Amino acid sequence: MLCVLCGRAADAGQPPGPADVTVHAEPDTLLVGERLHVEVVVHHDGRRPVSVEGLETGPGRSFEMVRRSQSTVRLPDGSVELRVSTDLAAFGSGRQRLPGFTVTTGQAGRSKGSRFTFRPASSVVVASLTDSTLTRLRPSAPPVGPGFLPWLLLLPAVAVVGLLLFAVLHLLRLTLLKDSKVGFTDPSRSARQKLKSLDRQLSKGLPPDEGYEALSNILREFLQHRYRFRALEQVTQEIADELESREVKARETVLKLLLRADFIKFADGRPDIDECRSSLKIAEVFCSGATEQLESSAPIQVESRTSADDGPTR
Amino acid sequence: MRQETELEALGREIEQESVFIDKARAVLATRIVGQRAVIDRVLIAMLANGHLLLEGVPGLAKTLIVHTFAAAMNLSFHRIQFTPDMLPADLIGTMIYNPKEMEFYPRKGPVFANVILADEINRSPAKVQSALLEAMQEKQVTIGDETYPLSEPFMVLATQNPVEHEGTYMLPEAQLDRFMMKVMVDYPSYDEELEIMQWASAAPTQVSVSAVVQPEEIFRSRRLVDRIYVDQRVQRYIVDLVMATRYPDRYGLEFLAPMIEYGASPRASIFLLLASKAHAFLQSRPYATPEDVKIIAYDVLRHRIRPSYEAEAENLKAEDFIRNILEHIQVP
Repeated sequence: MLCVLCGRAADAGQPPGPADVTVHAEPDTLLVGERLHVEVVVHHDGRRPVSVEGLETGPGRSFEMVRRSQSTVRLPDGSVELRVSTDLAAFGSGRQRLPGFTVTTGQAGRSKGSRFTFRPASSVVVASLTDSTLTRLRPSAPPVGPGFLPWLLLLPAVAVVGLLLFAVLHLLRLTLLKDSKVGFTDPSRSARQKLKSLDRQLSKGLPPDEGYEALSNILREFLQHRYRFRALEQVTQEIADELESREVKARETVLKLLLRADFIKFADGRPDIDECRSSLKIAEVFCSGATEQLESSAPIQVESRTSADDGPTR
Repeated sequence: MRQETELEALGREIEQESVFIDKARAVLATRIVGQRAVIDRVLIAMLANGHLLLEGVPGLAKTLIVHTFAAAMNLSFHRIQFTPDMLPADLIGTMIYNPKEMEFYPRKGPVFANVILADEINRSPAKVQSALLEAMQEKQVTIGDETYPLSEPFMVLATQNPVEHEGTYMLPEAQLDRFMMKVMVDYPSYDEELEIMQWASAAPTQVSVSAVVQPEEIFRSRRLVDRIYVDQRVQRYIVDLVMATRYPDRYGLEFLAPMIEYGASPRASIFLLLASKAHAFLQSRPYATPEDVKIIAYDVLRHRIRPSYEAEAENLKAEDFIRNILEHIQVP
């Protein structure tokens, strides 16, 4: 807000002189340490020099001079206007009167010269946000305080990080659960259940050659989970090599089963249901881990090209 | 009394006819130390009516194997040394002008033989290599306006040094695809090397090779190979392997998709089937199994898969992709 304070020497309770003095100040309310712009305009006849001095500012007072400049303009009617601009730093708190100053006309040291002291009656309000005893200059612009934006961004960021953390922990938990489930799934039990189911399917009329194919798959799946190698993607000879390297007991038995299944699958062999059931039983014993029983049992007859009773029937 | 089945009868015939395999192996063993796998692949190619590309550094008995094989099989044999200045006419023949009779007559080239050893085939430019195309695929050669059939059996056994060697030309893709198998000839083992060294120092003169097999036996064996039973499961396994080289992502091998520029052609499926049958014949078995397929898969597929630029940058070869595919596709 612009505050205009005008006065003549008479207004300010001073004796009248040959000059009109006007004082402008703005703003009318400011914070401690902020700048108050004060402009003193002295309008005189121009016959004698006029100067403005003795501004009542300085340490320990309500105002302190920060900047001062002055200019003189001769008007068309022959009069002269002296304009003194000042920036004052405001100190103290509450209503503060504008600082007084002295206007000198003529040669200050000679008899024809004169001096007038002006003390403006107007005042400005200095609001104090800090200790009112502050006597040092405030920076020209107040420091930029933390805006609301970082806080606004921080909240969603924290939320996103939290969600991600939750998702990662959830996935980790699921993976661990899955692993533990796989780890604790007994391949032997699973294989025996499948073999029993296959036996039931045979009773319901599943052709024995398809039964052998299923048996081969169950056995290879069991070997894959039990001995941790890719039996489903390996041919019988590769499985034999793997079992030998692991020194699996009764491996001969399971290999004979696989070879027999290979013959039935790839040479269009046609086994009967009794042979298929017998092989299922042997496989079940192998999967249960009762290798001693297998080693003592009679070996399975494996046919490669010729078969005694049920050879290929292409 | 149970009647003999068709497959049993075939098995018995194969057992009788495949005797010559052992004879041939024995003859080859008199001049070649080790290299059993290479010899088997040569026999498979002969039984399946295919052609073979042998690759390996010089001095691994590639030429000797082919030469001995032709002699043991009692087949006419021509060795053609491919050179950078060779012309197609040097291979298939040309029309020669007879000034006395004032007419042209055909002069047949060295391609007219049962077994052709195209030695260091990658030393000649593509136009000469392509001249072999018609001969290999159609079993005939055109000289001038006339087409001449080649005598059966006809088999091209080409040798090549690895392409990174200087002064070689990479074989065109169409040419490569016509070879049933590409066999990598590796260094002999320690013991084999020792035996080769002792052998060479003790018998510097060449051992003569006598023919132990007649061409008729080869024809009879080929007919038996054609009759070998290949179950639908095995056939589907072959197609799965070949399709996996073209569309790895369909088989859960997404990581291979950017590594393969193009996969194997339909010839790969055909040759995998034929070579599997021939391999089963070598085992005196009247039916093929996935094991037969797996054993010859590397040799049939390696020259039909082209690694991408990314794969080459990572120093990955076709063999790496084949191994991945074989380890991933479920065996029936």
